[in-house]
Amino acid sequence: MSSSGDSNRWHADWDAQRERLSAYLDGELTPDEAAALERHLADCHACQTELASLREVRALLGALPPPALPRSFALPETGAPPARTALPDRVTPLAPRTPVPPRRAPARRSGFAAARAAQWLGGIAAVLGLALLLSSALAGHGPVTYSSGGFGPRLGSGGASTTSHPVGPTSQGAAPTATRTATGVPGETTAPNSDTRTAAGEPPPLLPLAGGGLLLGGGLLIVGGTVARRRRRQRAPPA
Amino acid sequence: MSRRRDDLTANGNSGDDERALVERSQRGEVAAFNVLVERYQSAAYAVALRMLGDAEAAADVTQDAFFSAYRAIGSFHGSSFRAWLFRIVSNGCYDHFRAQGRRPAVSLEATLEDERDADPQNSSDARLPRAMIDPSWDPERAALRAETIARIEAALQRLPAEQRLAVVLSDIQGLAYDEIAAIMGTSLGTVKSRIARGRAHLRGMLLREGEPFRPSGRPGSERDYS
Repeated sequence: MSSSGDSNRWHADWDAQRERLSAYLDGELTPDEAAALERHLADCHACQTELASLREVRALLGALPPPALPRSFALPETGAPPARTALPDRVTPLAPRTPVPPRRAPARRSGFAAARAAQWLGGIAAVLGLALLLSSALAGHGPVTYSSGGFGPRLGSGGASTTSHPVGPTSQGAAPTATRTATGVPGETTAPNSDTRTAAGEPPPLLPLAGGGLLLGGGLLIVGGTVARRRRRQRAPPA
Repeated sequence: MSRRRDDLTANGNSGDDERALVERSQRGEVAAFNVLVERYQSAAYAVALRMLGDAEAAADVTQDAFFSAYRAIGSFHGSSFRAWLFRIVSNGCYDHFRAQGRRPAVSLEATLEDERDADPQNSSDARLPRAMIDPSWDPERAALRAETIARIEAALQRLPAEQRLAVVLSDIQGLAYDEIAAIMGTSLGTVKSRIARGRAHLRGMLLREGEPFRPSGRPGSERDYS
């Protein structure tokens, strides 16, 4: 069997010895290291056994059949590829010494301009509607009664998305709406006002002008809110 | 010890061809990029699948990786497209873990415990049960039973993610340590350690699960390892 002095030298740190055996298996030792290890292996049963079992694990893994491809991953050759997620623009949990890291801010998409235009339209419609609401409310000396609570957040989030640009990986998709409404954008500062108005419920005197303004404003608000919401849904993957 | 399966022609004789494909992709030729996709999609998907253990998630991660790679191809100036691509794939896998709020696999402490258990005194008979393997078992041309495949896959999922990635790239993809180090953004020494620990950990799990098939007796337990 192995001479105890030699074994002491090799086995003092068993983790290190296992690493040597494992790397030897892969041909990743220098010729000198490999030759020294082979001399030790010749009469060390423990290391022979360790090497054999590591080799068997490696053989088992290597014998796993390659999985069948579920589909081709080729990119569509016309136009820009659809973007599901952003680039891995961050440090991995692995050590961040990166020789070949892909780093790039997410590219603007081709449909971006159209969506942006829709967003602008929605914003303008919402502001217009709000102005009409305000004027009709003032004319009627009373607050608006119908429930417009939903419009404020919707309007706000639609406006906020012009500045808050999701850069991160897929996990960002779960960002709650509430945090987005926090950023200050023109369309949004007015939103809380409309909310506070609706809070104080008192029936309005029905002046024809105010009624018309209300209807028009409400309609425009809904349009603006819907467009903004649709836009937001496009930007963020489903939570 | 040349078991490296370098049939994937990352740095092989088609290196020039690959460089040309990368350059054409950088000029916006999707068709050229798709040649690279064809070349690497099986390996990329296999890495994602072995990392995630879920076919659908692996397909999503693989598709996203190719989209990301195409968009970022302008920033690629390295020598190995494969290493660069695999890095994007592995980043995608980690993103998936994060999105799921899942800390992949067992804790490091548990791993270290397992490894201490697997010291030579205990592992002297640590040969994997033959019955897990077909009677015609030949390490070079093995056909594994479905049950054995499922066991190995389950054991892989229980490895800490870094060890799993190192072992998958080494033992399933057959990459050399320096390329694995480039993919994982770490040193050769760390790669060496992760592969050795991963293999030892897998051995421990496969042995424990294969207990009923284990040869009787514990030969060599009294051996002198001093």
